[in-house]
Amino acid sequence: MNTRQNLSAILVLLGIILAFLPLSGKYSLREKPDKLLSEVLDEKTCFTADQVARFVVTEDSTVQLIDLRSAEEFKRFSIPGAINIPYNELMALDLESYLNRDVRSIFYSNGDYQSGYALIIARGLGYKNCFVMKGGLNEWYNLVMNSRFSGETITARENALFETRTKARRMFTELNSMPDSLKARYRESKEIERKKLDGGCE
Amino acid sequence: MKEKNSTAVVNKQIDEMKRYSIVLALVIPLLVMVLIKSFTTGHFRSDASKWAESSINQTNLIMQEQLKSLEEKPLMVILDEGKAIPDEVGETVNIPARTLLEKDNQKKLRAHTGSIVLVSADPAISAKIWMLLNQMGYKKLYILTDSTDNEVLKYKFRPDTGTVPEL
Repeated sequence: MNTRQNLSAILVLLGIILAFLPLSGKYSLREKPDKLLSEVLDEKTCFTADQVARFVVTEDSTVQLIDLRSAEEFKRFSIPGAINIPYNELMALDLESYLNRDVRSIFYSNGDYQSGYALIIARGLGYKNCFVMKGGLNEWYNLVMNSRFSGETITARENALFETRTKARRMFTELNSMPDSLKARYRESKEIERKKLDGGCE
Repeated sequence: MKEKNSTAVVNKQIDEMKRYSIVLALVIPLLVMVLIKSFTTGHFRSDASKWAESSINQTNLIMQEQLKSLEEKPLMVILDEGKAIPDEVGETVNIPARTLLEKDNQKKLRAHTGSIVLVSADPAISAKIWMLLNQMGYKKLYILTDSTDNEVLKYKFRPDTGTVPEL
């Protein structure tokens, strides 16, 4: 064999070795574990249901709510403006089109488990602008949907909070009381808005 | 004569190899770097979705009464500071979540061959720590939970049929 053949054999061998290496795939976390740990344990990665209610009421365009429940549950009801990425599909999707934007993505599910897992996955993949709604929809119901004022006097701060909760509750009830066809239209219009903000086309 | 010829061939090949030395000088370090990166421990495992499967079907959640059914006595890791539970079902260690990746604590976890059960009053902390350790390659890792309905909505939505939608 001449040198050229030898080199070719070496390169083919290298190709075979590389093909079988456990290279970091698309969905392998890249962040350093200790850095990721301190990031996700920071309270700054959590929003309360009240803070989320304020984002909903003000229709804050710098926030994207991501509902991790199943498509069926999402269809029944969801927080206004939320998009659905079921947790079991989270890692099968191209997250780049959902998370790699200037807006803050806030995960929520019914409880705290799925949003906690999703936060590690998303931040571990390098999407720094991801957060969770603490307590999930159970906390949303507890604080926002079932909010009742039962005192005699109210401070300005309490009043503002109560008003926000009331508005958010009204928006939630209005949206989710619509027939499915109208709900779908509402979500489509929100999706178009999201794409516009993302710089994409309709 | 034959020896002379073979020496000439070898010399010729060495000369040719020298011509390709630049290619080899680039390829070999590259290969070494790829090998190091691929086999470095301490970082996350490849294929996050495969590792996270048990969080989808919730087989990573375990209740107190199920602990006894584990093959070996589990290592109970208390993630909340200053909390302790009795060593009834297995060895118990208190490792606050923030210090979990410190060398000594990692040694404790790696040294245990059986199941590891994460315990925290805050389900959000257990969930985050579970996913982190899971992606680092810890197997037989569970979250201790007091109910199976953590991801079940405890309230019922009552639609208001009198509202007029505004699109």
